[in-house]
Amino acid sequence: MSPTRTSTSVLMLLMLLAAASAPPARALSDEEIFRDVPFNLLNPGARAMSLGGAFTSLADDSTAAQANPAGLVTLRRPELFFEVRASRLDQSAVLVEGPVDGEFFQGTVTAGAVSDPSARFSPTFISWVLPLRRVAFAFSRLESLDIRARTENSFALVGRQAIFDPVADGGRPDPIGFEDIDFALTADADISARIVQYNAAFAAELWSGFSVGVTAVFGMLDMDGRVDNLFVDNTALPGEPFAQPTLDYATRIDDDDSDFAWTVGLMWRPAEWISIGGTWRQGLDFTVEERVVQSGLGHVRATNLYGERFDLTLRTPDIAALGVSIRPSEPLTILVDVVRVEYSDLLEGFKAGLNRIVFPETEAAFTVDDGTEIHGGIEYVWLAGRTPVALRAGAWREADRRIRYAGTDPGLALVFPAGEAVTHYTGGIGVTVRQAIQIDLAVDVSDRSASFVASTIYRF
Amino acid sequence: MRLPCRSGVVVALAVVLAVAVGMPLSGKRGTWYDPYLDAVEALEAGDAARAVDLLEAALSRRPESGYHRTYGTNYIHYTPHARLAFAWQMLGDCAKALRELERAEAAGELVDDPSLAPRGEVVRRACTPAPRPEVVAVDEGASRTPPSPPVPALDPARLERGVAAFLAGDLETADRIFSRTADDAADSAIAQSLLALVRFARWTAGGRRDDALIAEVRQAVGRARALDPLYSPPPALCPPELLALWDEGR
Repeated sequence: MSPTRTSTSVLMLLMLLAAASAPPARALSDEEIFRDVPFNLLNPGARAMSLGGAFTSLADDSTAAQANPAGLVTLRRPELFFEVRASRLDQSAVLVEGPVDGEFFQGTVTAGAVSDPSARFSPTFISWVLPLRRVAFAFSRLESLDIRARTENSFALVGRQAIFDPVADGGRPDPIGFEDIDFALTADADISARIVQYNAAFAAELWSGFSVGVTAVFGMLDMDGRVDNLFVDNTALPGEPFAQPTLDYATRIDDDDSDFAWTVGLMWRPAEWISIGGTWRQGLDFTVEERVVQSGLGHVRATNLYGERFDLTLRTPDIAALGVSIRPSEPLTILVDVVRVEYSDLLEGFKAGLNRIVFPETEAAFTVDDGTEIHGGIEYVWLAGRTPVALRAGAWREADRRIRYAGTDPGLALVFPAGEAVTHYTGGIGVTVRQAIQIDLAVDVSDRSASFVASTIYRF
Repeated sequence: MRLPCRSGVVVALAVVLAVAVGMPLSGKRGTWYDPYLDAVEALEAGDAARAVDLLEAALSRRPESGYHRTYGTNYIHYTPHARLAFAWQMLGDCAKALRELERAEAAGELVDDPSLAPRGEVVRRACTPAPRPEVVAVDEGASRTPPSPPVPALDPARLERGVAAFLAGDLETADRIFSRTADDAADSAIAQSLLALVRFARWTAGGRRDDALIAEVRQAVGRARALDPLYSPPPALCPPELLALWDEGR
């Protein structure tokens, strides 16, 4: 049996499976990483993280360079900021299995996906701020994406499949018998992607309590990727074709790109106890080259569809944020941010059909919704002698960012469903020593990830 | 690579920058600590009149002294009355200086921030009238208070040139002139104090990293104090840090 026949059968059987009310499943994709890219969109700094990322309206330390540049004018002394982050995305494993008793196939279909991102530990944000009276300058470096993941997708069909006469009477194929089949497709992939941003920010206080800021962003993407699509016919006897895993087609990415973008921010403090902030952050557009490896049974067809080399676009989402913070008493601050993330930007230049299941349907429809995220946090500061100690807690709702199938094919709809919004819970502590050194720690936990951030600020 | 030419973004940025450049910057910010911290800087720069305005603005927004939170998790010693006392003394208004000093003491400011206490003492001494000397009967052969050391004569023209250079910011020339003056009038507390003043200014102008220079300042202050323990340099010329240095050994 050829791999093409196999994939057609898989599609057909998955459609049947969908009709048989299979349990809901997450996406099954050999390029899973492109459907659920874990961008680091949270405002940097342990203080902001422990406040649920709600920092747009406060932005009163050197992380303002990223969170809201308009807040930079709040600072009175030059600051140097450094952050390290350890993060772990949970391994995800999905298995869809069900019996099929159809006209053309009776048996069992199994589809599984395992994604295993590596835990990461790296300095993710460094910033230096120079306040000069009513204006301020800041320079910073941010890692907005750092992912290394291995994914393996598998599809198995075991049972009896119809054998067709090429064209029977009446012009339609009729089964002329059945054959036992037991074959598997495997998509084995490694992805490594890193986006580093260099930011230069300027802020000015226009009048009492009202300031504006702008950040020029230079971003660089470095991406490496490997996807091998293999085929095995388990009914073949040893030594026969396809008895061992056989390469169908493969793709590779080893490229980098850079781009410019802007962030603008506003900050208004109508009274000392309240602050309102807003930002708009333009996403970065990256284009990297992906190539079809010129070997394997199906590489000619893949090359005919996409070319030997083609562009793959990764666009980080535009983000608009509006926040309010109130300080009902000196030790207590309460913050809320509403953040609109244009995840639909991810679809810009999206290429369908590369996925082993979809291949070679280049017109398959995929979509993702823009998300509205709510961030909230509370900070309480007390004095241990002359040393301020801060206790913080927060939560935020991360919108579903998984790219899903949006066409009419029920099988693909089953394989590529939407994801789920995830609630994150955050907390942390901070201490400021001798009015010069601030040390903050924060954790962020959710059902599918955990992050730990330690940051420090040195005030000159 | 995509160029940053999205028209909407560029227009928005242009508007923001035009407004930022064109708007007159506010003289006062909305918080209590901004005018207060500006006042502290003004005092350090010797601009006592501006410091008074800013301190009064800070007091109108936050009357109570103490250790208060500013931005972020920063706290500062908020001592507006003590700072006002320093400013009024620099302006020569001893009545207001003493009144503010009393308020500072009543509010515990000098206890809250002990580093201000020596400067407060300087204000008190400078603004408190000296007691009249006791009249003692002259008795031949009896011991009596030793006379003050003779003050060497200083060359007024040279001093004038040195002060002019100092005020013009030509610290090298001022240093040269005051060094010669201190060498020529080694017994003059005034000459030593002028030398301390110009070297302190050089230390400040150089970013306060020259340890040798500040050591020389301390030596000159020490010599001046040894020569005339009752001598204090003119407050209008001296920044508070130098006055505090002066007062350290008393």
